[in-house]
Amino acid sequence: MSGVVRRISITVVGIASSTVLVFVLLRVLPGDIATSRLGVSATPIALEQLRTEYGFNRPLIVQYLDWILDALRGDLGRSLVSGDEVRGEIADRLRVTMPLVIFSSLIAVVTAVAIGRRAALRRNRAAGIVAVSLAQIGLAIPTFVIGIVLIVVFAVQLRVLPAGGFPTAGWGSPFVAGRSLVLPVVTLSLTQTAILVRFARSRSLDFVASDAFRTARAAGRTTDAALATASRLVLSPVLSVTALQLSTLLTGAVVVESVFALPGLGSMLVRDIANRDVTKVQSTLLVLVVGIFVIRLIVEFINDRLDPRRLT
Amino acid sequence: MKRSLSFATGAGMIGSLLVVAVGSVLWTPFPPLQIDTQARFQGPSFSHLLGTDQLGRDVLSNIIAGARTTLLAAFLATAIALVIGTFLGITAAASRRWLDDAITALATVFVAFPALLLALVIVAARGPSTATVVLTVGVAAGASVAVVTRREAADILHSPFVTAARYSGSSTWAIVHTHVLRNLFPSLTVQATGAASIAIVAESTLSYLGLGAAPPTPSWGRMLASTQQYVLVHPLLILWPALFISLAVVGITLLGDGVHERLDPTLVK
Repeated sequence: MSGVVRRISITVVGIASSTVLVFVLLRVLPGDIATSRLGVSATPIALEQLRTEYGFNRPLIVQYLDWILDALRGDLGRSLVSGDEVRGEIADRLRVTMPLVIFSSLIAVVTAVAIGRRAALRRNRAAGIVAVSLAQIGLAIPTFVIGIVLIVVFAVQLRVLPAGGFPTAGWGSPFVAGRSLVLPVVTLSLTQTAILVRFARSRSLDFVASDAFRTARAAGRTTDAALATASRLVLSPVLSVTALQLSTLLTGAVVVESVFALPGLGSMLVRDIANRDVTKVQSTLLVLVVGIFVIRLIVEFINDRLDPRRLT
Repeated sequence: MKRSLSFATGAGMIGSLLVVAVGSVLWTPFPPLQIDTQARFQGPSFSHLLGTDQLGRDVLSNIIAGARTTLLAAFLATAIALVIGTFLGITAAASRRWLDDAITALATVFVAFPALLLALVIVAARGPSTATVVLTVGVAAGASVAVVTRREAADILHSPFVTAARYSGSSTWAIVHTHVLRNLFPSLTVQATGAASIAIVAESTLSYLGLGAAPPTPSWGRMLASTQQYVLVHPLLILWPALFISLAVVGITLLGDGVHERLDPTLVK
């Protein structure tokens, strides 16, 4: 039980320190927000008005606590540029980003485990070497380049999938919406798979060299059946790496949404960053940080079930 | 010594890109920014080897000039990362427990934060510029260099030849200079290629998103972004910068692997 309490407290401390980092980077480093928003030629009255409206003239610690306490109540503040509530737009855009991220991760984990297993069994043969080299190259090529190559092949040459965009009706037209997510999901999962394959392969290699594997083979099991027994041992580290790589995955989502012009959280973040909408960027990052830590926590619990030796 | 294929390929690719980038200061086939509205969307020909873009600018000249932007950013970011990382790593390894712990904790926080995400946050605060990208990636990559360097420097500082040097009266600085830095060199070379590839990806990604190099500067990332709307009709235009970004990153990765293979004979294939 103490393990549960310890993990939850680590999560809370992690979220708290990340929000402090985001706040310091966005609000303390850049200097006066009102001036950067309205420009150097703004009148002192206008500057003062903006500061009062958003509470920038209060002590920083008060602003930070206010931001966190409001967020706990579900109030994510207002945009510095449009003045609109941030919460509604974030909820809207999560409808695109969540399926994108979830499907890509699932596909990446399943493919990585499958490829890693094959590569481990055939490590000295062409297929194994090709799989590992492809993973190396996949790791090296930037996400947006992969996306653009896929657009050129599947949207321009073969004309089977859209080059980007999302139906205005959203999930109201599920077929069109699903179709426009195919290439983005493939792009994102390719990068993720490349990261995960190495771990799946090295874990499978460990198992192939173990006594358990030799015994299973000696008892007459086929190689595949023996490896299948170990699949949860291979899955567990792959899930851990997925959890650790979550922020990389989200950065990937930011890029992919921009490449495919999807109305998700990532493309919104890019636009807000370009507009220097500090309050909105701050709250968007808060949502992402909380998401990352909560998913990491869930993965920890799943891993305890997959590999109970971790608990001892 | 066994010739390494990855080293030769990587060095060849990066070497030729560097020659082209440095040469672009003196000569490009056309001025990269010269607009020719009579010659828009031309395919590859003898006068324009890679064709022309939506404003009639010569694509090859822009690729060459873009190499300069990207490689210079990568070079500067790597230099910053190496200076920060080596300094912090050796300091942590050579000093008292509390300072060691403080530096390690600080570095770990930055390592957990992806360089690109950190750059996005800094751009939100300070506005887009290549200098921001270079500094952020330099600091972020410097943190991971520091973590690795600390571990290796600690090993070196505990080795018999350092103890011998200390007993024969060498100062700490002399030990760091003659023993630690020299023995760290192989690892630092590999680290440098890692930092450089992060920097190339970060610079081109941010420029692609419109959060990097400012408009008149030729940049691969911005070439991609500005030609994407013509992808259905002129897909070649977008493939050139995509190809060169990939070549640069794959080249630097191969170079890193090659250096690793050459300097670490114990490496199991």
